[in-house]
Amino acid sequence: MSTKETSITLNDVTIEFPVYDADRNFRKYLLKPNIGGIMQAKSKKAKHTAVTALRSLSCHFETGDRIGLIGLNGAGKSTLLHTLAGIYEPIGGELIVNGRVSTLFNTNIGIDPDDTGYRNILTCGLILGMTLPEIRRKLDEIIEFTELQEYIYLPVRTYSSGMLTRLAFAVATSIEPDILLMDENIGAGDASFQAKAAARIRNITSKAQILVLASHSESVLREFCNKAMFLHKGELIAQGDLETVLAEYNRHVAGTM
Amino acid sequence: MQLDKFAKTAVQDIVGGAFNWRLWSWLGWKDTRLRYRRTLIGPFWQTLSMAIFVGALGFLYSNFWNMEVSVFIPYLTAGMTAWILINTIVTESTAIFVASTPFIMQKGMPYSTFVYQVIHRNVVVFFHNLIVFVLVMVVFGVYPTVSLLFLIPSLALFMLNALWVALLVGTLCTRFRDFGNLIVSILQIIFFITPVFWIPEQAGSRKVLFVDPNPFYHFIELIRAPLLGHPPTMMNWAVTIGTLVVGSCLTLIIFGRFRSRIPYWI
Repeated sequence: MSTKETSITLNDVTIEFPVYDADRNFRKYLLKPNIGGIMQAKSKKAKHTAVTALRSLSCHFETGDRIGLIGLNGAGKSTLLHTLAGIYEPIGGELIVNGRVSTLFNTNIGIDPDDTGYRNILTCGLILGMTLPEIRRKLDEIIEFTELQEYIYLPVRTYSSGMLTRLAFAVATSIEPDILLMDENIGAGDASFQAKAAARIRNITSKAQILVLASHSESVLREFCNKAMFLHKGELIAQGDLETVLAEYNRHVAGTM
Repeated sequence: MQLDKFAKTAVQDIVGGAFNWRLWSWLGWKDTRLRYRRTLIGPFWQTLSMAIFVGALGFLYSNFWNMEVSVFIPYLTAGMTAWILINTIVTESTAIFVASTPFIMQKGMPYSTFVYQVIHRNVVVFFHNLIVFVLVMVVFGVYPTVSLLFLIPSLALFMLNALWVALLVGTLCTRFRDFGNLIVSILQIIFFITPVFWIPEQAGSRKVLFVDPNPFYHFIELIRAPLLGHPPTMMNWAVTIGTLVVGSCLTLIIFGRFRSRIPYWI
């Protein structure tokens, strides 16, 4: 698609989340001159509350790389995925992404319960960056996959949760990106559907040139990935070959127990 | 300060959003379409409530002000149509990014996309509401003049202003949730101090003091004047274009500066 090689490069990327409690709002800004005086203003500036979610992360991925992100909860896996997707902008370092990126974080990509399933497919497709003709070409295949048949013309509000999941999943997985960013925790409905869903995921991941997948499951990682990054509290502990990193991760987990 | 950098970020977003027209026009139509769903007259409810408001207030106030009903009601209707446009766009801007959270958290995209969506939706509603004015014209025998064509540049100028207002208000209200409530209550006051249901001439010599410095008056005139058959005055154009220039600069800096923070704030 693009003339440039598909690649992802991160140089010293740092992501910080500002923390706002109910107290740090407009009221304080408005009332500051009346209550605090210089000292408060000074201490306020020094006390910039922020959580560092990723610290000085550097890495480089190219076509063929299938990267598993591993780490305990809160390690920064999701943050990294969101950063690669261009949602969070790094406060430090640089991020270079070449290629069409698509995400599979949660399958609920702005589904409107009042609209029909059919219309929602078009809406979600547009959000994912497809054009209407592009979506129309895939429409039959998507509808068939959802197994919704004539329900597709009913408002999504009337669907069972399983039907909703199938619809959302089918659209979310209908794109063919160069770079696919995926979170393991995407819902996939009942058991019979899960087998179908797994096949579909295998299909799109094989088409993507770069895959970044966050997962806690070693079997999932072994199936989809050849490389891995081990994150801990926002820092990159190890990266490289999947088995090596997994071993490192297991050593680490055993050590903290 | 890196003002040029902020401005560049903002311009990139605004231009990128415009190129995202497939998405925002679809979402804008969807909003309108869903308002029709399961109701008989859908978005016309707003039109109907405006018609009732204009009818009731029109007869009452034309008596108070000693004005001909046939003059006052068209004036009030044209003014209300313009006011509703301002009011809805500003009110909806306060929640613009928070309401689009699922989209924003899905992938990186120009946030102005959602501003265009809001503008699109409100222009559609504007034309729905214009039907009341057309009815009023028929009932009172007011005929459009060539000046009606001024509605085209007027609306364009209106929308350009809506763009900076929505981006600025949206950014500030995402960070400071109190702002939204504040703005909504200020709007209510503005409705009463702006000549919508009273005429500027009633202020007499104090018009210079109370009416002319009010930018909202000039925005209302921008739409009301062509509807009532005369072009907006030079002052109307000057103030609204001036507002556009000053406001856009402010938005380029503030939105450009804080654009990247929006996903962290929502």
